[in-house]
Amino acid sequence: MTIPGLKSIRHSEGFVFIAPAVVIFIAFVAVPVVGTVVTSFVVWDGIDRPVFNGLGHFVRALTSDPILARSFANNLIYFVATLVLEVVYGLALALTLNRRGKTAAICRAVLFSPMMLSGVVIGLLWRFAYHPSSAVGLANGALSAIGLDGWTQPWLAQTGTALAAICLTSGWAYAGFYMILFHAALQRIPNELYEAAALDGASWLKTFWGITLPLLKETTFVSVLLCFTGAFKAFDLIYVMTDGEPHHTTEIVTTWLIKEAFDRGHLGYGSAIAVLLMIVISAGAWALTRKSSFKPAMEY
Amino acid sequence: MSRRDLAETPMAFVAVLVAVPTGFPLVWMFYSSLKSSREIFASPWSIPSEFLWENFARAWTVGRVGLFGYNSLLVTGGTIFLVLLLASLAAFAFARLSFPGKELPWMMMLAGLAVPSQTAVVPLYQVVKTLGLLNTRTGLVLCYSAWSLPLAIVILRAFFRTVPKNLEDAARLDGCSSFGIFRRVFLPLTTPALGTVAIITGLGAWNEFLLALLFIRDQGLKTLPLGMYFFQGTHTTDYPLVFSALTIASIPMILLFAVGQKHVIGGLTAGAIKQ
Repeated sequence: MTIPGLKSIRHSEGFVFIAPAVVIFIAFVAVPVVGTVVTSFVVWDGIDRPVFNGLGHFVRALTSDPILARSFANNLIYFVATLVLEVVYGLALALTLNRRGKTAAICRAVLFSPMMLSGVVIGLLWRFAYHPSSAVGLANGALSAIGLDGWTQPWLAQTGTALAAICLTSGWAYAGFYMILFHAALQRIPNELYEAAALDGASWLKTFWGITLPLLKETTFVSVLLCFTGAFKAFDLIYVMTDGEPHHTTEIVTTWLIKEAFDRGHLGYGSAIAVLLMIVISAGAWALTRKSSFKPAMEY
Repeated sequence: MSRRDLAETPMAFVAVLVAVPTGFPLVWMFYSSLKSSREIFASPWSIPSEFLWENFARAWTVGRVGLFGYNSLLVTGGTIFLVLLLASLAAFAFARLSFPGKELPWMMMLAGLAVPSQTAVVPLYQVVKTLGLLNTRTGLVLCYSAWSLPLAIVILRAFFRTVPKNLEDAARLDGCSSFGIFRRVFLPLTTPALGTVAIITGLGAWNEFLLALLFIRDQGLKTLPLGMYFFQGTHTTDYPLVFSALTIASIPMILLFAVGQKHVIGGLTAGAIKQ
């Protein structure tokens, strides 16, 4: 019989189809991810023989690296700030612009457009916008235009304002993305629900709490999850705008990791920081998904 | 103006009002790129007295934006091509072929969705170095492709699963091989999904910065984001040049968005799961 033979041809065929993708994935994703964990247990400068160090790096990271602690705190601040400036503001924008017509469509497109730019372009543009001189920068220029010359600041160069300035830039760049997610969700809410609410004489606020918000639950959840992972894996924008300066007040885990691993050649310690970051991101994502029936990977 | 338009006017006004803070910095970037240095240092609000289009020419040649753009184009094009090819083959097998041990690579891809590349850069640098791919565009293409594969495969597999089984059976009865079915039946039916994948992958590769920063040393091999970053250091005082470079780098993406808004938004919201 030829059937078993045919079957085994089909079997090997499957491997042929997936092999190229799997080989590249293993070489450039799987090996580095496992390698990060392995490297975190050794002292290594990339040249000499690695020396086993047990949990030494983790002990150091968790007990005697104030800058790392500061970095994690900054990531957390960045998350909370962008939650408001991107997700909450994005929802507000979606509600404001949830109407037919060209004007609203063009405004939505404008709000989304920074999403197309690289973090480097956004960062460089906003370094100009935050220029210390009110003759150059938009922020100081606007303040002095309305007569608040005394309020002009070197926004990115002083400890009190740098992180806030970066958070605002992030809000500028990505609120439009969450707006689009919410806009799509709002479009899916059947109009009859609002008509019924209007017949019952429900107020705008009541309709919002009773109908809109519950039906946006899933999108809200996805947005919070994206905002969380986005805040903890952020790099480009902050690296370009301040690279952690001044005095580590804008240092985040990824910028600190790059400095330890690539500027100072502490590959083991840098990897330990990366492992801690992976743990924080997975734990946060797990805590968020646990509360919901929604499983991101299952959507497809 | 009809009565309805009149009633809409206040809301249209509010709509424009919320869009201005986002739009204005982009407009500012554009008109600043046409100013002279003296004008840039005079006021952020003034319109250029004379449009200095030669700023763009200087950014292109002196600033080497043309070269960086060429590198970005090669890297982005290579990544899109490789991802579409490898991901569609793999997704087809995951969706339609049965073979032993299919579960493990599939689980690997799902796990790959969850890990950000930022956390794996230390060994990734060693891998690229060992393969002799440091400071090459090929190295970037391979890394970008590998990290784009999981999402691309997940999206394409979902599309391949929607293709009716009887189409596949009919083709098989006609003597089509699995590869023939893939090429003649599945690929033509799933061009929208391939477009989505191309957009997410392309945008990611075009804008990627960290890996390029770590792997590329030669000035002549730098991609746009990397070139612009260093550029800003070497031309710190030449503001018109930097503004022009920022504008040139933004134009292709803004145009892509203007032309294919629907696809871009669809792609990015599908890609949101990864971000």
